[in-house]
Amino acid sequence: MTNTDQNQVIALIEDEDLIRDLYKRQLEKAGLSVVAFDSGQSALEWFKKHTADLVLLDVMLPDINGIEILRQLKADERTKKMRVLLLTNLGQETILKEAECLGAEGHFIKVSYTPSQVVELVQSKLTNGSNITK
Amino acid sequence: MLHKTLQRQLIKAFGSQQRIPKDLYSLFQTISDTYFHADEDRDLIERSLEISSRELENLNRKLQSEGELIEKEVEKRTQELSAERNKLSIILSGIVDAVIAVDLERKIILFNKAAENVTGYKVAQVIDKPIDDVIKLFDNATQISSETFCPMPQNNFEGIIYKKQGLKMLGLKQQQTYVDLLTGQIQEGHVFNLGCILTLHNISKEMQLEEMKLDFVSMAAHELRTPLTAINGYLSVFIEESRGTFTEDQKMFLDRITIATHQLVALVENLLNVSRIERGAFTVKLEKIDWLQYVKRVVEQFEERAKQKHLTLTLNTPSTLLPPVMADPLRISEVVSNLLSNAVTYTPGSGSVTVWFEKTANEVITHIQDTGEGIPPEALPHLFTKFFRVSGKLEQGSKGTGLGLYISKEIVTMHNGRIWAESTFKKGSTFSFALPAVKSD
Repeated sequence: MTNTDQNQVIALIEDEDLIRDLYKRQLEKAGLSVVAFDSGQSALEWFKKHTADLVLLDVMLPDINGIEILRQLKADERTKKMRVLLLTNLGQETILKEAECLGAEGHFIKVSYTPSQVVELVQSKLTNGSNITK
Repeated sequence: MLHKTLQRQLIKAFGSQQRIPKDLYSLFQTISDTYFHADEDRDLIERSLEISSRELENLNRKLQSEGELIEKEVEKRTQELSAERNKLSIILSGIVDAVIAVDLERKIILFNKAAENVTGYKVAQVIDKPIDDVIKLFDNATQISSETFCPMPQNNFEGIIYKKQGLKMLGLKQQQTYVDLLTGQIQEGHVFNLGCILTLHNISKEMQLEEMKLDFVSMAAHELRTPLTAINGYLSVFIEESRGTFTEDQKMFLDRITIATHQLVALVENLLNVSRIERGAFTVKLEKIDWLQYVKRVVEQFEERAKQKHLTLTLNTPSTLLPPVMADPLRISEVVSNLLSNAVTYTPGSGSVTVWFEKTANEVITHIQDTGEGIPPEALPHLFTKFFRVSGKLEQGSKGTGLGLYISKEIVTMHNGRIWAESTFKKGSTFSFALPAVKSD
């Protein structure tokens, strides 16, 4: 079904259960390993010992916002190389621009993407890292 | 009979009355007459002096009373004047709008209570100070110079000389308020050393409310997007994974659920766009676009919908080459899609939708013409207004939000273009927009 490497790990940080479960299910169906977090704190805890091939990071989280998590990940030598894709339903240009400056790969508006499109996007990111979404 | 004084002197000179020589008597008589004359003259002078002094006294008294009258009058007038002044300053302080008058050097000569409140300055701190030292006005981020908002009188002009709404004003310690400004002048300004009179209406509260409204709209829209993401997501996965297992009815139901969900997504998107436009957060990034190819691609996306409705959708290729246009590809596609979507939606089956172009000296005009119901003439002027919906037959079964054309107009305006509509009721409509062409060099 997919030619993506089985060992590739996706870290998914999303506080909305319905969306998190759906993305996790679809990405795993496509043969990817998914570690899912419902808060910024639990994700940062995990990143102390692990890294992922791609981070799907929600911008609006209840504890630490996505931009702050991105900043911390990019400030740490060990995690700064990880590619981060922001998920948002806010689409505030200023925040997204800031994220881009901090080194995010890109972003997508959740409501405009079907789960299969999300899977396609993730796969394209994994196989072709330089192809940045707009 | 000799004058007594002379007689006394003669007696003294000759020893007694009797010794006065009789032969000199007539001489003495003449001298005596002179004495009498002198007496008379003196009496006369005395009497006239007496009269004069009496007259002077009268005059003095008269003058005094007149002086008192004048003094009283002056006092009365002064009181009247100060009452008048008080009245003026009471009236001025009672005006809820800030009133600031400046002289011909733009120095403040009048500053009412509301002006104190809105700027944070006390009147004593600002009188005779240049207006620039007291307030600074900004239109969005651009500062407006006092030469602009406070011009000096010219050509005996009288009336409003400058007018601007929604200005940001900085006062004492950068105290920030939002104001509507009206600058007035009077014809005799030069005579009274009066430059102009500024009236500032504080709209901070309104702005705050407006901001809260926009925040609310954008917050609500974002909150709506979360459950919509779930509905849309699960629905699409469900349809994908169960494809081929549905009955015709079930398929139709799911299609309709999908359509309604997409409409809701589009509505939220439109609401967000409107709130972005009104907050000034909606921007365009212009680039050079091969316009014909670009429109062709958008038209292609509507071929399926047109086919389903048995509509003829045509794009007329212009006979001469179209110059490229400057546009934001993402934003302008919303305009083309919106106009095409309206045309396809509001044209009944077996009708046609035609896209054609026109080239003028500086513009490329795109026309989207349909053979639909047409728009009633009274509705034409309101088409591009927010939340306006054409009532009547068009309204039935349509799914518009009344935002599409408003957003399209805003987007075209941001491109320095124009958008308009022409329509013959019952015959069809043509929506057109012009974009600046890139000059070939």
